[in-house]
Amino acid sequence: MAPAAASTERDRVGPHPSYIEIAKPYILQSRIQSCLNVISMSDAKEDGVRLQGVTWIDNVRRALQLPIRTFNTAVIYYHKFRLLHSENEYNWADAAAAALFTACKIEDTLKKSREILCANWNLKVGIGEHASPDDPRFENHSKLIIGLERLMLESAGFDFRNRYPQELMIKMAKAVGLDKHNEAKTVWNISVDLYRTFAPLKQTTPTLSIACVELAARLHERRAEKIVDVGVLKYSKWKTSRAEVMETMLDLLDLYTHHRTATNVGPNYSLETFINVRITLNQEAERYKIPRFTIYATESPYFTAEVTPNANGTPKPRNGIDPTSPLTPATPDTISPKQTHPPTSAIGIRGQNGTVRFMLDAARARDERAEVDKFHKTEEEEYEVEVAIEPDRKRVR
Amino acid sequence: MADPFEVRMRFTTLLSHLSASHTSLQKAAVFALKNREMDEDLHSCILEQLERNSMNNRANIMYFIEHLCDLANKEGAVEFVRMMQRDILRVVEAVCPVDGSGAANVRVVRKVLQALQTKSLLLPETVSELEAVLSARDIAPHPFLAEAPANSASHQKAARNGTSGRLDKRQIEQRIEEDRERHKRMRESIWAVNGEDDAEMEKLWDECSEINEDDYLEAEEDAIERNLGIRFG
Repeated sequence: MAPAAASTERDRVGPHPSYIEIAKPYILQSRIQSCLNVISMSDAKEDGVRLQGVTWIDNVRRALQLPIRTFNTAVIYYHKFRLLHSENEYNWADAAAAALFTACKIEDTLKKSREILCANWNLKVGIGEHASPDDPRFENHSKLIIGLERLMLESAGFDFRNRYPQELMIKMAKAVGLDKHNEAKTVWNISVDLYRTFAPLKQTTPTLSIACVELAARLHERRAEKIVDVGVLKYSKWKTSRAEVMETMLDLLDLYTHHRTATNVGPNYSLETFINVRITLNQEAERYKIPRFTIYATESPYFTAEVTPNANGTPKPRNGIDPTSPLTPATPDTISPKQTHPPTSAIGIRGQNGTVRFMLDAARARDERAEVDKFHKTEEEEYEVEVAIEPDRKRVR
Repeated sequence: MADPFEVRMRFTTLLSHLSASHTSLQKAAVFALKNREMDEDLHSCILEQLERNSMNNRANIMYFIEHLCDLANKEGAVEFVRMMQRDILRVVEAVCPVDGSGAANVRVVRKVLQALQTKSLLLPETVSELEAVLSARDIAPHPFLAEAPANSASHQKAARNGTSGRLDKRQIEQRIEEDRERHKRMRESIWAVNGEDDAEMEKLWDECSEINEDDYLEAEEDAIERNLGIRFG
């Protein structure tokens, strides 16, 4: 009889292997939805916070004369932050301010946190009440924003690779022959509205650009055959697909049909216009069986699980968070009032037990895990052997 | 209703303490707008300070004037702009006097005049007339030999040889610092775009290149990255 030794934390040899947080440049719809479920965020609530936050960022960045790429980055951080933190831990306006502050640093358009808060203040009050950034009223708030910056960076996994679809989009619009003064403006404004959806988290730059151009063309009643998968916009050139472009356009149309007045382009067209475009696209989707959302390989009906060393019984990684680490939505039991206590880090709790490392390369993280597991996981086999001598504790790799 | 005397006093203090920092200009401009009922008084304050303070300070006030006109225009306080248009020659005279002591300020004045013209706050004819005046003032004797300008009441030192040289040196250093500060701020804001989206879009439209190989390569890299995420996510 061979002794069965359970593999526990105590038996681990060597230092703690540390937790690896993998940056995810792309997060698909199902993952977004499950993140929101984990933090118990209802759809309606989430819509509200998302739209208000993006509008906040948009208004303040215009007041501060920040370029569109800072806006893009800020909104992405805002979305990613909200996927990890339960909404009773923080004030959405603070998160928006912190996202913008972080984005300003990363996109090299530096603004002090006070300047951001001051710009927001000045937008809301008349000239008589205008303040200057060094006004003491912004003091404490400014510190809170700076504190949130760290959480912003963690939520994004310290991944500074940011997409800037507007540049490619304008090139495409020009190449396709949209006119500069009318249709191009629509394309641009659609791209700003695009960030009100989750599409920029899910799609590549060319997909986003093509979708904006096509939707603008449709709204301006251009002929679809000239735009869809032809010439400059041929999908194979851009390594995208009809499904992805369709998903993005439908995301935009969801926004325009449900929240028309909260967008830039929405008020310029009637609800009916958007619904008609939507119907056309729905018909196409139905005819060609285009799926609504891109799914992960593991969600596909054709997927067969690969046998990987750590696949036994471990849950799928959530947003790149290592599955064997204590998963946290970061809500501690005692919830402090949001204004005075910033949310605790989703990562920090794990950090108390071991180091958290942030990586960009998922393949490398997997390989490391496979290698490290050889030493830490004891796979046991029980079999009976009749021997005269004392049985060794066999370690079978 | 604030006491007019106090408002004048506060404004004068703000003006005499202007620096290269954007905040100091902003503060003074907002203050003026807040007290716009006293616009005549405040305008005369500006002229007074221009004729009293050091050359450095006059340069700062010049920048302030640009700021003020801009803000006043936005907020519909056209009186400020109108008065400034009326008295612009006097302002230029004060910042770049005949005796050439304001030679260091010529560039400042040109810049501000151009900015005001671009914002349609000054007529092009006015600006060209003033240009003519300016070019005559562009040459100056060596700054260390120039007479110290008529200082404000707080600096009552007689402008004489030895002491005047030292005064000038401090002012020169201060001026260098402030110019350095201004240049730094200008570079920091190089990315700034007009609040109206169209400006950025049009700039991008005009300046972007044709679609080329690099764009396709990037698309391919993006797609590979995304597919990896899909497979292993």
